[in-house]
Amino acid sequence: MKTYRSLVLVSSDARSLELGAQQVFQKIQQEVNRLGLDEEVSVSMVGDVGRHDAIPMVIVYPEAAIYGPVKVEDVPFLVEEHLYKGRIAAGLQASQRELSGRIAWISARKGTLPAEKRVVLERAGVIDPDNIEDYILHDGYQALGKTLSEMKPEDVLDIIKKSGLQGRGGAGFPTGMKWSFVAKAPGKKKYVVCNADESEPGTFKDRLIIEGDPHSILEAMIIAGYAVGATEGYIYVRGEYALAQTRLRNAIQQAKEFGFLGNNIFDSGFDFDIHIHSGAGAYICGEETALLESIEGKRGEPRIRPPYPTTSGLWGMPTLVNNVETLANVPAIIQHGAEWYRSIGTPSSPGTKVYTILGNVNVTGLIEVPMGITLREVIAIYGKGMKEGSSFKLAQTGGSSGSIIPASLQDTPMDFDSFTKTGVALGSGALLICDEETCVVDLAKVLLQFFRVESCGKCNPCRIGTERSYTILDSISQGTGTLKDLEDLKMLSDKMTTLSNCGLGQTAGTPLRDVMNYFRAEVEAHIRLKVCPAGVCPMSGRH
Amino acid sequence: MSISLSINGQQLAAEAGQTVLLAARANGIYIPTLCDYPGLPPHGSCRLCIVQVKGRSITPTACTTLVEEGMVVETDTPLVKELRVEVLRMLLAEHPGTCLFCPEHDHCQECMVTLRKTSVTTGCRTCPADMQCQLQDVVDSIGLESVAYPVRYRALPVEREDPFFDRDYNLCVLCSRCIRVCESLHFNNILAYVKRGSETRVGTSFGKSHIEVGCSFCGACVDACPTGALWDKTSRWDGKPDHTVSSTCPFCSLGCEVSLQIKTNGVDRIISCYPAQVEKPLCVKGRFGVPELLDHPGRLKTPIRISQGEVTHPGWEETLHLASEKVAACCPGEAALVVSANCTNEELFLADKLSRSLTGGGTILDAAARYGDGIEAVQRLLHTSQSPNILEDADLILCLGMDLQYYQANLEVFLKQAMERGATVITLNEKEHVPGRYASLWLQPGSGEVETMLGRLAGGLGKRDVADAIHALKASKNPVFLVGDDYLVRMAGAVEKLVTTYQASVVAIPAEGNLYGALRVATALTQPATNPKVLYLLGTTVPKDIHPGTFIIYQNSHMPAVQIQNGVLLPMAAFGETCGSVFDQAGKLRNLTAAVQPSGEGLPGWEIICRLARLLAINGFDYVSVNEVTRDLVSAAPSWQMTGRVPGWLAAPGGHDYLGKPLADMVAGLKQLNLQVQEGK
Ligand SMILES: Cc1cc2nc3c(=O)[nH]c(=O)nc-3n(C[C@H](O)[C@H](O)[C@H](O)COP(=O)(O)O)c2cc1C
Ligand code: SF4
Ligand code: SF4
Ligand code: SF4
Ligand code: FES
Repeated sequence: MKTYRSLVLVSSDARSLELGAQQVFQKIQQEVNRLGLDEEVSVSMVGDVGRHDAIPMVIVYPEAAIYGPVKVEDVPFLVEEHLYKGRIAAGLQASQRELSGRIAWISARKGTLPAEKRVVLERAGVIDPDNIEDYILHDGYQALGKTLSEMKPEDVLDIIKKSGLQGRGGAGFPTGMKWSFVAKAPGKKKYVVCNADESEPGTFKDRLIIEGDPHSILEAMIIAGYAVGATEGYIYVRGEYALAQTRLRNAIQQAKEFGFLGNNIFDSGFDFDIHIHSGAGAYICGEETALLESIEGKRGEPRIRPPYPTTSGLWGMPTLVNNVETLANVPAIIQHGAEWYRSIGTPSSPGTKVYTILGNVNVTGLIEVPMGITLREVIAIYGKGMKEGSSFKLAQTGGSSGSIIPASLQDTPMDFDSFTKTGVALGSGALLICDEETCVVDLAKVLLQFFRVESCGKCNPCRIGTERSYTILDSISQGTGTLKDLEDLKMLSDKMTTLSNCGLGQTAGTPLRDVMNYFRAEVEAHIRLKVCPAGVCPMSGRH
Repeated sequence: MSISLSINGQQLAAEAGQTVLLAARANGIYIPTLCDYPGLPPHGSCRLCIVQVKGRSITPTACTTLVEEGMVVETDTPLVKELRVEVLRMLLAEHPGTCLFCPEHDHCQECMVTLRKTSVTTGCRTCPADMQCQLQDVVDSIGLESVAYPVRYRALPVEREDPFFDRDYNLCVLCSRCIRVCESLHFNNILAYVKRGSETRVGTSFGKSHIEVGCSFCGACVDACPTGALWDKTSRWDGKPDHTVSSTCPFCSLGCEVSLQIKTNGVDRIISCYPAQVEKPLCVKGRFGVPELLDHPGRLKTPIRISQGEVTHPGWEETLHLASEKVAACCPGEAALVVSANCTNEELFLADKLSRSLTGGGTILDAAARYGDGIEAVQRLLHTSQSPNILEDADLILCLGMDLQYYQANLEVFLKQAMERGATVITLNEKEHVPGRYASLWLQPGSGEVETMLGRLAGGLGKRDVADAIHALKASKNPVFLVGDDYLVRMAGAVEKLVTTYQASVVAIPAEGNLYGALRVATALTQPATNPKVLYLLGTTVPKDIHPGTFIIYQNSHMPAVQIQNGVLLPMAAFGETCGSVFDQAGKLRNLTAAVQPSGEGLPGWEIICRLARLLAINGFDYVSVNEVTRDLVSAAPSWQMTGRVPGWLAAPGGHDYLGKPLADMVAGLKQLNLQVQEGK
């Protein structure tokens, strides 16, 4: 393996590209070549670097110097100063704001921050996502090699089961168990589907995983295909994720050229092919059965279950549906073993969890931390505390179907058990941190607005329940609510949960339930006193 | 395998694979439903059918839950009731509730007390489905007495631009029955949910009209709708029918079973015509044609005498007398009797009998002019024709000159099912048609080359375009040829040759409602009254080239299209007004029922013939009931001997006629469809 003296990374998320990251990248290459440094310096595009205040951003290892925003004109100076003369190009450095997300991790390698634990995002931000060789240099496709050369499908199922990996798509279903259902189900053909629809508001972890490390998803899908006996895979990518789709297409092309995809992979006699299916902007298509309908070319409408996709999925064939993050764990588990994986996280929920931190904290962004971290820790360590002058009121997890965590529960270790124990749901991994300026009625209204628009509209309780709840919340926020409205809201949230066909309707009532449980007094103030304590709702005269 | 379970403490046996809902129903246990519909896979969207199952924490929907051994189900616990009430309360937040909770409702039905306009006392007509709505039933059974949430009226314009039925989606409960019935009973996909969330609606692609998106107007969606959202235009405000009568559709040789909806309001009236079984939709003619046909302003209601163009109304007695005198004055060969292939067997049989004693020859069948020289081949094809049900076992179906876009669209199900099970469907048609676009193979000869192509197929040595078809035909173990009206008319001989070559089974479907009967019952054609002095037209149109001096006896349900100078018009009962029988295209005897009284002074056709014959003192016409005629005709030896030449003056009827008049002239929507077909091709 070739070693370099310096590693130059250029941010290439969609926004950076818009702002000229590609040109910056090319210019750096030119300059490096001009100065004859090309043998010593490697230059790569790295996807999203988790910080958007100074893009396009250029990061230079091993100093972990961060430059940004970098314009093409700046490049000659930067290259000459840092790479040729070996000193920091002072004027170009990004602000010394605390580092977040991936950059935080980069610094962590230098020992400055309490460690995030990286499994899923290990390579993201380090390798060039458009270059399969870079992935291979960083141990990519080793797990696949090991699987196909040393393991029987049952061995793979076994190790995934033993690892205790649970689905990261929201429901936390044990992955090993799901895989063996599909492996056992009879069928002429089987499919592996990667759910990259990611449309929970505030969630973008799957996008960053794919943009930063697309091959890890392909590798995991091929391994899954081998384990369950599938020969075809689909990646259902949210329509808005253009860059992720391009990266995946490119990765598939390269994997084919290298023989990781196609017929008779590694001479093992195993065939596998992967297609990309672009979503068209419907949240419900993230629900696995609606997703399958959508791939089949039909309206995204959840199916009746049973039968479950594991026995009758895509075109009626046994189908494995897994979330991006779930899959991204697989190659590492195969490589390092179930024991290793279990050593991370909590006994009941091994592994790490990727969160997107949003809201009124000092530092927002993407982190990957061991399961079982508490909300207080997330805010203090990774969020660097609440914003100046604000104090924590509540957090909303997992996009819309997550739960609301009041201050009293911020020391609950968050894992798959916490929901049944205390009602704290992990959901999709979004952590929306809200301060005292947030009105719970307004928050619930925003969430219900989302559901009422995104319900597929098929079943009565969901379609009408979300609409009615929204109207009631709206009237409370206008100061025209009545106490009976509270009873109605409770009734609606209960009954939507019991009566709906799919997860959307069943969880649409959760925010209502949580608001009524933890913040009833605040809601009643809207009704009895016609006052919005947080000063958000229109009746308070602020709007 | 039988499974035993308990529902509400009652121990029951059910079939494995049956749903809890069906098991309960089979045992007389009522569970309210809205989205469930016979013949459709469960949908689970209305959520009304929830039940409790011992050992399950959730309340599953009965329509989607399969029975299990030892299952303990409760359908009426306090929890279930509470949940059901809530579903319904939510549902009614989206549905106008006037008909449900108006305190005057029942009273109003009876005495129409509600004041609407000054000095007009009338009942509210809030919804076409009032008193026949499944939502009303459900509300009654659950016992809801008022709305709980404010109603969000959708304020959508009622969609009226398409023919036959209106769509008022303000009344829709989004049960998806219409969507699913179109998809899985008819294998069409005209309707779908459009938009999502609280804006979800039923509609067509891009909001186009049904005509534009290729709807066949079979009306299955209307039949399936539990509310008043979809309704026939003609019976929109007729209210609930008082009773129904089953009969046979007279509009083509398939003879679909129908259920006539009758309203008793002083005079009985057929307000609508439904399929007898929901799983077997009709086509547009049968489903929507009847009321407009019967209520048409051109109905002939009284006997009329025309002398030198002058019209008088002398009553039955005198009119028949005059007719008999004219007939009696003829020498043999001077009178001719023309019948229609839309007539009932009884009319055909009696007409034939009358004709024989008057002229020595049988009746002249007007359709003979349509089929021309091919009539003999048509006879042989029809004689061996079988029911469309045999398509279910075919491994290859060859459609010859079929177009299922509108008429007989209900046959599409057979084709789509065949495709689904992997059978080959080949269609031969020079024009754009259904199933052209989805058949396994569409052989499209140039215009004027159809017969040549049939010949090449029969020759078995075709190259290029027909090679694949020949290959498939040769490989097929059980080929069935579906022969449409078009090729029966134009090239029955070539079709017959092809059938013989491949020893295929035949399903021939002439457009005429009773061609089989006409060929079986009547002998005819051979008599060549070159220029008849008296022309007895039984259900047929007045020939154009007839001598103006000819005395015409015009027996029909509707007025003639052309002026008659000399003759009598005898008002005859139309379909639904008289009993009788027809033979369908597979030779099965099917009954027609008299559901209502004939319009005006009209009389059943068989009775008119008998009366005329008795006036002429001909023996053998003393029938007192139609059943006696039926008995005689069934026991008479079948004829199947139509030979001879078509008289030059005989006018060829159209294919989709009813008693000599184009159906589209009497049913406005059909005219609209015809225009569509012409535009499309
Ligand atoms: C309304 C709704 C939306 C969902 N959206 C997503 C999504 O965007 N991405 C995802 O991975 N799972 C989503 N899910 C969960 C999937 O149905 C499914 O459980 C998941 O893809 C399974 O993968 P896992 O076992 O790896 O978690 C959604 C579920 C519901 C009910
Ligand atoms: S619960 Fe909502 S989103 Fe799910 S199937 Fe029903 S209507 Fe559609
Ligand atoms: S139009 Fe009628 S059948 Fe169709 S979804 Fe609405 S209520 Fe149901
Ligand atoms: S297919 Fe023929 S018999 Fe059936 S409804 Fe249509 S016209 Fe009537
Ligand atoms: S009948 Fe079962 S949900 Fe509608």
